Amino acid sequence: MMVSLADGDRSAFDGAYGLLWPALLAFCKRALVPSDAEDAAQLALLKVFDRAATFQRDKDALTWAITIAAWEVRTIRKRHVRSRSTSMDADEHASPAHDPESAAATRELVEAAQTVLGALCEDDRVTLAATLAEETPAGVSGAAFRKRRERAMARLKEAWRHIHGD
Amino acid sequence: MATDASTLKQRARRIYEIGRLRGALGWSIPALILAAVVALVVRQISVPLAIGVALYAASAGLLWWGRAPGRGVLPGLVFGLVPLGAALIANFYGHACVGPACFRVCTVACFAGGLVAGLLTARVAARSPNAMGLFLSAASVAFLTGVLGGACMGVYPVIGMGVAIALGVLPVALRSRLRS
Repeated sequence: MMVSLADGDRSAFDGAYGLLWPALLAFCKRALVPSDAEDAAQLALLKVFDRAATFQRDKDALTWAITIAAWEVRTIRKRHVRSRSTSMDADEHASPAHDPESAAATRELVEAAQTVLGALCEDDRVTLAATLAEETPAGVSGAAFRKRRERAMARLKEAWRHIHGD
Repeated sequence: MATDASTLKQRARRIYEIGRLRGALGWSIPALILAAVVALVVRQISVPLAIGVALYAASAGLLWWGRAPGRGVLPGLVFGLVPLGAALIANFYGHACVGPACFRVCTVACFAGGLVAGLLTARVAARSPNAMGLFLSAASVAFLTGVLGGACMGVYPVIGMGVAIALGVLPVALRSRLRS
């Protein structure tokens, strides 16, 4: 559908919009609070359509759109981190009892991992889950699983780099 | 920032069209560069500039529209270099002498260049599902590209070039008829 849209076939617009908007919104909701998620998804959607004319037919459209959405998520998260650190600097009465710093760091780490995993395909998630559980899925040879794991790890690193930088 | 669904869709559509137009305007810049080069070669500004602007507008419009007409821009521009080259060569060395009599061969050169461009365009168009759409677009761009060099020589070379390029429609029409 994105290939048709890139080629100038306007009749593909409704279909592409109908597929992309829920996917981008779902992706952003996994990574951000609902109000921010909608903003990020809208910005991502508009960027996707802005660049639709340059979409390359050998790319996977959903991965491409999700990558753009991941950038928006990253931008919003960075903005939040900046504003949070500014407000923490200003707050002289912060209570050290609850160790908010480590709680925030843990929460951020979990959110970051969720965002990155959300950017991967189902097969990669299954492979990584099996790796963590130190299992080999039934019906898959050891060598094939090692290759799958290698590819999934490479994509995980790539997604992490895209979303959170090096 | 939150927007209702229909407004968002309208915005997305508008941004899609703007994105296409921006890309089309950018990708058509070589037409202006080509016109500038021709103006330098023939040492004349007004005619190549006017035709260059028309070529730029046509390329941008076709690229923005997309589909078969959009796909015809690049082959049109490339194949249009043949009549353009022929016209420029004829412009500088456009004499054929038989004994004491010398003739200008501009029209013949433009016709030959146009014929080559028309046939090459027809060959590319024949592979497309919308052969006629692609041919018309590519032939128009090829014609304007060729005219960049031929216009300064008068009307007949331009007419000859146009007729020759248009002859390419014959194999396209024949092939379309055979297909159907």
